[in-house]
Amino acid sequence: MGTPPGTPSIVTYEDVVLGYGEGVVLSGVDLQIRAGSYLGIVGPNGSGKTTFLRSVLGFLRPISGRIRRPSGRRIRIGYVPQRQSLDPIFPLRVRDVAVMGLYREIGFMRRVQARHRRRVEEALEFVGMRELAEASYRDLSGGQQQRTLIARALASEPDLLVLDEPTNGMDLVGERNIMGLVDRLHAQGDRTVLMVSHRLHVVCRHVHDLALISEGKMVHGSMEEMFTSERLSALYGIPVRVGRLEGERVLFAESGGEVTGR
Amino acid sequence: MLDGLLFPFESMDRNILAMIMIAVMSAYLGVYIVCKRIVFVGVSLAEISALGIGFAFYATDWAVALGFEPHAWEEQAPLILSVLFTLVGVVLFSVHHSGKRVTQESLIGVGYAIAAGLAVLFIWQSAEGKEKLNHLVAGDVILTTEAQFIVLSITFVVLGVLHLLFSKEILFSALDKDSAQSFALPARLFDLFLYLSIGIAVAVSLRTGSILLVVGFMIVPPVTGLLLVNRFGHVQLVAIAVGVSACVLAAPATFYNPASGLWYDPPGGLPMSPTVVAVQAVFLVAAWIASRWSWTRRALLRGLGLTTGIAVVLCSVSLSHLLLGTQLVGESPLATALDRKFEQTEHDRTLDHLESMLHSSNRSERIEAIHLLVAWDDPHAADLLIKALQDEDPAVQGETITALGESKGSRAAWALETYLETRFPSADLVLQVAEALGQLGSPEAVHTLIHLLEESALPPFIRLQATKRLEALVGESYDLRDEHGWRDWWEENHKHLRWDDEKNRFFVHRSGQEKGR
Repeated sequence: MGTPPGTPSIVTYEDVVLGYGEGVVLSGVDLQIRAGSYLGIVGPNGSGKTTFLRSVLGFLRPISGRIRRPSGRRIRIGYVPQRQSLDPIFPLRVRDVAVMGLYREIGFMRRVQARHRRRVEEALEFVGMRELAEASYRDLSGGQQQRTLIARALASEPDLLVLDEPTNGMDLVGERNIMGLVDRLHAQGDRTVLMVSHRLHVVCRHVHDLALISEGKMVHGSMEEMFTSERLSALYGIPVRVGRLEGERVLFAESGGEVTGR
Repeated sequence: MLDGLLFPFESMDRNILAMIMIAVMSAYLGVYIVCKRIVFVGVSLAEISALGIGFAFYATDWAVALGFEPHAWEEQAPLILSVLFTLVGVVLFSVHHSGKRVTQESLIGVGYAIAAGLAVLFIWQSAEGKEKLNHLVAGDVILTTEAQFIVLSITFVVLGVLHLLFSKEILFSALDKDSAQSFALPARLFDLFLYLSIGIAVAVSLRTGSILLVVGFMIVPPVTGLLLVNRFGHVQLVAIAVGVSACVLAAPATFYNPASGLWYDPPGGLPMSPTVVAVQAVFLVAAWIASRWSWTRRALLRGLGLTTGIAVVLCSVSLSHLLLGTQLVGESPLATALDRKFEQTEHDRTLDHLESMLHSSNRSERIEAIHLLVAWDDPHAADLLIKALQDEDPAVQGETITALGESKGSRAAWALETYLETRFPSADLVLQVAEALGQLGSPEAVHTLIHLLEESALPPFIRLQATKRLEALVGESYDLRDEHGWRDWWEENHKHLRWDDEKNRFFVHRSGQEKGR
């Protein structure tokens, strides 16, 4: 079930070419991130996912083409980086990390006020971290750290929640819990969620729309359109089978298949 | 009461205040440095800053050699170049290098090694190079000038206020630049500001303290703080407390002279920077132990609070002294000691300079040095004059002999007698020695002249001069042809010769009677 075509777009890519300096990483990107959509960006390592992510966050200007955002108001982006990007040596409490999502709103030279604290508490409550609000971020498990970062993004009440490899390095339980939380985030309040991952077997069970990045190109559509053996075999360069197991999407690489194109 | 509380720092002056300011700012910024894992960047920036200072010294010497008048900018040049070099270093280190053959870390290491090497070379080549190098590497804050203190104060106040105003944004940017940027904060700007703060703080601090002192403050107290507490702000407070406490505890050791057993005897005290770092190391070990037993942690934190409180009182007293120009408490032994050390350093510099003049290839310069040494009423000057007797040039020897006579030094007569015995000088120099010995009130002046008269090959005009000098010295007169007259007189009277300061000559003193009047 993809996002209905009539839904307004919050970010629109029109024939965008992305890269660094003269080097093109992605070209011909035409994509609409519609309000309330649940979009997964998937591709092998080094395919250009991070480059695309940086352009969504506004860190990277397109070499050519156009990235349009709604006029009149600024899109609030709640970015959840890979948890490894936060150095645990920084001595911070869970609450200290979460409140950072409100710094822009609090403003320069101003202190955190009670209403800001309330919002942080609500965000921590939503991700199930309120009990650990006073704990040191560095003492948390990987899943708890990821929840803290999600709470930080949530506290800013974002229009678009961007998650970068949210289950990276997690065990099965951690992965299931985090993805369950992301599902809830999307379902409650109909938030727009964009998730970047190289773990298609995880993403495929949750997102509604999928963009596949491979060899400098992006193709996208609803899960039904994109989650096919042909497309995925072409993406990974090996025979990939897809199917359903007890209603859940599954995929696996055929054993003994010949690697093509990569 | 206050005197007792503040002992031994009854009234600190700008030197100790400067050190405490460096401690506060370095420890505060050091928490960022340690948490961002850019310790090597901090150390390299310190060396690059030192390179700027060294280059300024070297360039100043060159400018002077080329005939430029240096006074207008010689004070400012080291600071300006140090800041400029450091800022270039900040820019170079903050630009991410993505090469596959050479890592960013190795480039920082290259920067460190080259900067350290060139800094030493530049400073070594400059005037008083060894002393400057010693100060820069392991020296202390003892020579903080008023101008340096003002620059340090203004810079740190401005940086401190900016950091207070933007503390949360700077922390977010330091922790997670991309996320901060995604939340619409100018994270790159804040990150650059942090690097610039580090660079400027290092550069300004190095004009007052040494590399060891600044780097020590930047690293050891933050690590101690990280071992003891779990919140960023608290770590910064503990780091500052450790830095300040290290100053307070190290300063007495710096002013205790184990050789003399006296306090406030700076030349014999421990060097300040290594002592401060050693005290910090004690705190670090204590923190490591305390991180394992919570009761020791509380005790250590209370101790830190106490020493920091004392430091705050000291700073208040000192600041009021500086601002109001009054001392709240009595005469300060520490201030006196610091003054003495300052004078001692100036004195050593003068001595080194005069000694280098004595070794000049230019005879006029050597003679000029001798005149300056005579004019300088100092015991060490006499030592140099005695050394100058070894000069190969008779003209210089002559000047030295005269100078020793005028110096009235206690060892001058001995030196002149030794000179006569070992150097076998010409007759005219012997006459000069006799003259000098006479000025020094040594009876050996008389004996030298008599000995000279006994020289058979002595030119007549020298013999005449010696005779006249003898007559003037003792008030006796013998025929020039009487070869034994003076010798007999000497044998009879030399044990009873005494010097008359008023008449500027000897007299024979025998139980109440005088001969030779």
